Amino acid sequence: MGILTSILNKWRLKRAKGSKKNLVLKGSCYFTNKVVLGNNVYLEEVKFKGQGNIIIGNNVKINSKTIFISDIHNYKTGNAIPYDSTYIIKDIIVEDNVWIGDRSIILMGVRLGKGSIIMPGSVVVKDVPPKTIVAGHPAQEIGKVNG
Amino acid sequence: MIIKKIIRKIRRFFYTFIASLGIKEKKGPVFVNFYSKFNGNTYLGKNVGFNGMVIKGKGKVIIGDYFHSGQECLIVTEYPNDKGEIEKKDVIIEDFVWFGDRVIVLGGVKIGEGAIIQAGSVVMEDIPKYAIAGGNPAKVFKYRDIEHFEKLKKEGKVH
Repeated sequence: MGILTSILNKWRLKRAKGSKKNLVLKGSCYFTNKVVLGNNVYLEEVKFKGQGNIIIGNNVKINSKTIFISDIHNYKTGNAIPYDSTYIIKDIIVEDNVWIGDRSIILMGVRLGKGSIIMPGSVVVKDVPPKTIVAGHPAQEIGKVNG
Repeated sequence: MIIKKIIRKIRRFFYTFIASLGIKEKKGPVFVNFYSKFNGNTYLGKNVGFNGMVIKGKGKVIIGDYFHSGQECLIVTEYPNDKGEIEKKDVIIEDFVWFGDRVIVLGGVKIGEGAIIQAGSVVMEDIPKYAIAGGNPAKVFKYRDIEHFEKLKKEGKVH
């Protein structure tokens, strides 16, 4: 199974852009063609979804079963309920030296500042300032990173 | 692209068959794209779509028309109480409700018409009509455009 996943990962990784230097992939990861990966990125069973740009900086570690959702169905102005076939699209930006814990969800239109930490199981709905630790759903500040 | 479409159709057929084993009553077609398992006491409306929904426990679950769900959702309908007995609690979901990914709904909850539940939420209390709710525990933070919703409903424009 391990060999099969790594072959599938290599095939799926072709869609992603960026330098992709020293990239580590574990488990089955899913990419879209709007994903940009920096150097020294670690991904474990991460799913990138949606049509918006998802930009990952350098030295980013993302732990297992995290989902990035960069679009939602248009429920506001569409011509069908509960939603129609169009989408509302917003970008996600993850800056350098960010660590994201297991089973988190990053929603669209969010920017994670340099050196911030997202605790496991969080759902990030708004921007996170640099060097901040956030947790919970909706993710709230619980502390600062020293140094 | 053609191969992808064929794979999707086969997958939908397969998962719809597995899910149909747990449906007690349905009014119309059911679309299931990922692994879903129902508890044998589930009542579905017409045109409901699931992308991975597991219903646990033997409580009654009623889902209205035009329901759509994201992936890895969960509904729990049975709890042990303080006497050690197992208690069943029903879940009612009305028409035009939409769930994001990884939503968990606990027993005894009623979700009103047209509600939207944000990804990753845990619903513990009743959600009113037209609400957009999220968080753990889920709280209402916004409402839909009610006039727009009612207008489309009257015109019969549904997804």
